[in-house]
Amino acid sequence: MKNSVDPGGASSASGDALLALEGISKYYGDVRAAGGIDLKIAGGEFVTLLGPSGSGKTTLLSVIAGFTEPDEGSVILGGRDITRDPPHKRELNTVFQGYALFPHLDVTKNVAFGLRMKGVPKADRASRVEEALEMVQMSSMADRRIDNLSGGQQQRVALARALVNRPQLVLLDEPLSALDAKLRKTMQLELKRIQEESGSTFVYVTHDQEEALVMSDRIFLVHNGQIEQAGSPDDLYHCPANRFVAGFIGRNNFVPGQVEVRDGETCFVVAEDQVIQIAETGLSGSAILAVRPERLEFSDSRSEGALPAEVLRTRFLGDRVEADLRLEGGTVISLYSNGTGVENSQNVFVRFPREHCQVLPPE
Amino acid sequence: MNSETVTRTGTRPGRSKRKARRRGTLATFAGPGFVWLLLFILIPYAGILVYSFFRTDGVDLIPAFELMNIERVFTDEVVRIVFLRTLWIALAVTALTFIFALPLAYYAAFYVRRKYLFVFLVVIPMWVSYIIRLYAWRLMLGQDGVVNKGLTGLGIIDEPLSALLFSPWAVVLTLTYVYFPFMFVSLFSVMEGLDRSQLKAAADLYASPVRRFFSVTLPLTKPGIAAGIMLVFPLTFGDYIAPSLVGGPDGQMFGNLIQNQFGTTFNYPFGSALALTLLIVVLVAIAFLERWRRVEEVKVF
Repeated sequence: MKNSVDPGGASSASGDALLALEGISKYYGDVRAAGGIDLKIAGGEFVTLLGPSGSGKTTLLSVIAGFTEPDEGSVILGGRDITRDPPHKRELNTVFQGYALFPHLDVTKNVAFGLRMKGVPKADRASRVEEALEMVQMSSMADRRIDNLSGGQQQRVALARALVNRPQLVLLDEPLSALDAKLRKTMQLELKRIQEESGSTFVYVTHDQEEALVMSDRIFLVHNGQIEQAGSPDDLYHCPANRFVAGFIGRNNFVPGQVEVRDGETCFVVAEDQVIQIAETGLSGSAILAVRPERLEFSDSRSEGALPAEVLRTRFLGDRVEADLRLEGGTVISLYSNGTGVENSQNVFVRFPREHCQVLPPE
Repeated sequence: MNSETVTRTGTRPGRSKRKARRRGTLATFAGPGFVWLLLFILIPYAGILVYSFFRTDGVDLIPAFELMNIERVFTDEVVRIVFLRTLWIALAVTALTFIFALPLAYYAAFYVRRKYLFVFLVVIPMWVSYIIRLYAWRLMLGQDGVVNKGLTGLGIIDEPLSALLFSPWAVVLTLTYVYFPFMFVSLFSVMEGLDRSQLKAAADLYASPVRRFFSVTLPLTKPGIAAGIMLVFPLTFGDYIAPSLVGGPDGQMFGNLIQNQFGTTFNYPFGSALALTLLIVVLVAIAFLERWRRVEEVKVF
């Protein structure tokens, strides 16, 4: 299940890593939050720990920040082992899920808090706070009280409070989850801009795959306390390592069958008379074919790589029409089209384009 | 947030009717409390205000409009001494309950697993009658009390200390003991509700545990501190039972002075003037606390 051989993921993090986790394990009773996790993050990267709730991604972030002590393994930041350092001695800053701003301090004092604790002289403090507020476009709110700010503004203050310290590493724990959908979209682009402008390394935790795809240089997909796959958003979308990854990132269809070689061509056999030609694969025998709904096409005839299917229902989604189709073996798949007239119960042919068929190991 | 803006917009025709109905509901719920306040607080205080302008002839009350009682409050040497003593005793008791309750409340809020059992144990003594507890202190501090026996037994002192009992210090000690739970519960209830993620944020922003306590935990506990002081200071300032049981002649407090006017010398007008003074001191203290509690940031340390 564990996938640490992904070439894309490993190569971009090679050289001197800013942050390295080595064999991090953490158990809560019998529940495994982290089962021997290794990862390396280079300076200046925007990395996302993506996973469903309970996958262990937040535990991982908490281990990096120092709020959770791992049962095993070490955390190395800038070449120094910080596993036993308390949070206040770690050169990193966190943007918390609920922002965790100090209600008894105004915007400026919130942002200046870290500098004050570090003993930065007052004059420097003021100019750095100003600079940080400018970066998040909150200069005009410097004297506001925290409870007079909207969620989006609090979000920006929380970001400024972390960035003002110029940390090597910024951790972000689902920072956008409390915002409405539209603001979230704006903030995604905003976060990416700020990360690039500040040159900091961001480690971002989210369960929202779309957020991860939009912002990340690299994604670590976490599941059951393991990293399922690490790589660029493109890698994870187009070359998922297993069924979990293929299903978690974007929509996908799964068709069970056999990989065989017929007439010198690699084929995916769904049933005796239903054969899809596929690219060469290292797998043989039982396997799963994954095809994204937007890659499937209706076909007029039973041409190369097309399977017969019955239309179960169609849904109009504005920019596309989604059709649920039942293959002859009973597997239901969905297909996005631009809405050329298919009707319910109609018998159709579906073409599986060879270049978009991914063969994955069976469960 | 959205629903709030929706309900706030626009005036609809049914609004005044709704307002009237709301006022009716308010009267139903607040009414009994208001009647209570009127009968048992406002009217008696009005009576005291009126009495303080009366004069006496022997034990008879003569209705009049005289300022001599109020003048006496400001000029009488005994009043001045007792007032100052009462002030320092009340301040000392408030400070001591705070100093003792703060670490305990912090410990209970952050480190105790069964918090409410812990609070229950701290509060249990309050279920015993106040007077019984004072008698218990009298026994402990007395000539043959456990403190003197212990100290002589250990050879620390040769003769029992008589100053333990019947002194202002005995009053401070017993009142600190009596009002400690009030301060503790006030502090605990606020500390227990503190947002832990704000404390984590402070740690994340390089604050050591000590600095975290003074720059985040304590300022955020301010409402609890204010509530604790508001309970302990007025209760101590007005107490007359503890000084009469353990205070001795040098430990008499302002409350005893008032009690004497009503119970011994039957000088109701002077007693009323003293009671008004007490009320004003307490109200001024509460007004200050209320302002302090509302000020955004106060440098506690």
